[in-house]
Amino acid sequence: MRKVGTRNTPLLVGLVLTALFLFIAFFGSSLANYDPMRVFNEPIVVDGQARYPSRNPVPPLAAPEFPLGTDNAGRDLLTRLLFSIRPTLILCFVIAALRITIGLALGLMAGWFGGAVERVVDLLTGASLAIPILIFALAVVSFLGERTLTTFVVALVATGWANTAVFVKNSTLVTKQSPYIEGARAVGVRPWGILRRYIMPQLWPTLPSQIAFELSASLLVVAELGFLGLFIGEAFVRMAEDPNSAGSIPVGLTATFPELAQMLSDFWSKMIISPWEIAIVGFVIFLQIFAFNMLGEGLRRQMDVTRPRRAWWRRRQPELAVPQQSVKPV
Amino acid sequence: MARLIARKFLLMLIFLPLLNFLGYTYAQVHPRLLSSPLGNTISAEFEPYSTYVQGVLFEGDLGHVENLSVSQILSGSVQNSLVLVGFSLLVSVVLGLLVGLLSVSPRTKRMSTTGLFVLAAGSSMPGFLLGGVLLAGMVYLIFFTDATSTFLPISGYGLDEHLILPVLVLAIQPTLHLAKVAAGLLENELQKDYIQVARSKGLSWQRLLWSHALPNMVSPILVTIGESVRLMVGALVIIEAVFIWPGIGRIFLFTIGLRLDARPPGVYFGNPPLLAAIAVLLGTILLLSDLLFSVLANVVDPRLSQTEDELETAVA
Repeated sequence: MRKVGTRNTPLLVGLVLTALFLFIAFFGSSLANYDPMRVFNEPIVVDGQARYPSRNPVPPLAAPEFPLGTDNAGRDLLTRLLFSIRPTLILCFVIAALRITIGLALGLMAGWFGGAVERVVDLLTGASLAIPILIFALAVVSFLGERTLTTFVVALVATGWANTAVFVKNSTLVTKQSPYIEGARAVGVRPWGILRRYIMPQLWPTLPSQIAFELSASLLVVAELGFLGLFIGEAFVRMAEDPNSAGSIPVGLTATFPELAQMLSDFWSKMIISPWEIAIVGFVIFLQIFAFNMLGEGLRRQMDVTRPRRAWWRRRQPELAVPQQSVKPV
Repeated sequence: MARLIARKFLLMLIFLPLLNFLGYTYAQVHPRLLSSPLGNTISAEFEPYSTYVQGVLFEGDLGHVENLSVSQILSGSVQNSLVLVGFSLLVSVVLGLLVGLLSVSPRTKRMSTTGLFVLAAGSSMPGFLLGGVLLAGMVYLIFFTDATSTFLPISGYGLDEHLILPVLVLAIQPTLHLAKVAAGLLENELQKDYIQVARSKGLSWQRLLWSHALPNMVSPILVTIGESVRLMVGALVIIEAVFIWPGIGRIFLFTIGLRLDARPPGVYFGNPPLLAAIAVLLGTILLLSDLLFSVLANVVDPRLSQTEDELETAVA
C-alpha cells in the first residue's frame, strides 16, 4: 500500500517532459524528413490549388508533406523544430553549469574564509543581483555583437551566478557553526578536508533542483532575447516585395540554422504571415520551461527531509563498522 | 536601522555615478554597425565624459538628442513607466499573496498539487508570449465578431483600459513568484512546533493563519516584493515594446539599437547622454525600492538589523 503523500507528481511530470526533450535533442535530427535550411520553392498542392511555400507559407495539416506547416520563409516547421531543440538545450546547459560552478565556488569561499573575501563577494553579489538580468544581457549581447555561443554564455553567466552564491554562502555559514566541524578541527582534519568532507556534502541534496531552476531561468531569458532579435547563429534579412512600390523591402531578420529562441524572433511579421509558427514554437518553449520548473520542484520535494517519501534510490545508511568482539570462552 | 539606511545611501552614492559613467562610456565605444545588418553608420561626434559631467554639474544640462534635451525626452516617459510599475506592483502584491495563501491546503499543511501546477505553469510563460497571444486574440476577435475596435486597447498610453493588458502581462511573473515564495514560507512556518501547539489548543485555521503564521512571514515577503520590483523593471523593456507603451524601457531599447522590426535604429541609438541618464534612472528606481523594502522589513522584524543573513537563509 502506498503511503499518504508519497507521490511526487511534479518530479514525474518533470522527468517525463525532460526525457522527451532530451530524446529530441539527441535523435531529433535523424527523425527529420528534410534539411532544416531547405527553402521549398517548388509548388505543392494545397486544397486543390498550387501554392509556393516560399512565398505563401503553408498552414499546419493543410498539406501531407508538411504536418506542422512551413515557417515564414517556406521551410518545413517540423524539421526545424526537431533540429532546434539541441542548440537551445546545449546553450541552457552550458549557462546553468557555469552559473552553478561559479556560484558554488564564490559562495563556498565567502562562507568559509569570511572577512575580506566575504565582503568582496558580498559586494559582487549585491551588484549582480541589483541589475535586471535581461537588461544586462541586452547590453552585453548588443555590445559584443557576434551571434556566437560565447557571447550569450558571457551575457547570461556574468551576473547570473549570484543567486546560487548567496544560497551556498548562507548554507556554508550555517554548517560552519555546527559542533561536528569543531570536532573535525579538533581531530586535526585540514581545512580542505573539512570543506570537502563535511561542508560540501550538505549542499549536494539542494543542487539538482538548483540546476533545474537555473535551466528554466536561463531558457526564459534566452527566449526573451530571441524575441528581441538577438539569437545564436547566422542571420540574414528577409526581403519581400513591397505592395506600395516596385522593388523589395526588408521584412525581418531570420536565421539559417534553427534554434528555438531564434524561431520567436521577427515576432510580429510571423504573427501576420504564419501565426501557427508562433503558436507551436511558443508552446514548445513554454513546455520546456515548465518541464525544468517541474523537475526542480520535484527534486526539491524529493530531497526535502520533512516530507514523507519513498527513498528508493537512496542508499541505506552504511552499517557502522563495529569491530567484531571476540567472545572469550568463559 | 540608521546604519542600514546610511549603508544603502552610501551604496547609492557609489553606484549611481558609476552607472552614469558606464552608460556614457558604453554608448561611446559601442560598435555602431552591428545592430542593423543593413548597415547604417551613425558617426556623430560626442563630447568626452568630462565635458558632459561639467555640463551636468554646473549648468544642469543633461545633454541633447538633436534638438530635444534629454530631460525633456525622459520626464514624461519616466512617469509613464512608474505608473505601469506601480499598478503592476499593486496587482501582484494583492493577487500574489492571495494565490500563495490559497494554494496551501489547510488539511495537509502543504502546497496543493493544483496550486503547484498553476504556479509552475504561470511562471513558465514568457511575458512577451502571453502578451503576443493576448494581442492576437484581441485582433482576431474583430474578424470573427462585428466589433469595430478591439475589446481592450492593445497599444498606446492611457490611464484607463489601456492599462489592463500591459499591467496583466507585466504583473504575472512577479505575482507568481510572490505566490511561490509565500506558499513556501507558509509551508515552512506550518511545520514549526508552535503551530502544532496552537492546533492542539483547537484554534481555527483562520486564526492560525492570520494571527500566528502570517506575522512571522511579513518581513521575508517584503523583501520578495522588493525583488519583484526588480523583475518588473527587467520585464519593462519587453512589455513596453510589445504594447508600445511610451516609457523608459522603450527608449532604452532604441538607445542600444534594437528594434522589433528590422528597420534602422533611430536618432536615440547610441546617444551617450541619453543612455547615461537612463542607466542612472533605472538604477535609482531599483536602489530606492530596495532601500524602501529593506527598511520596511527591518521595521517589521527588528531582529534583521542584527543578523542580515538569517533572512536570506529563510528566503532561500
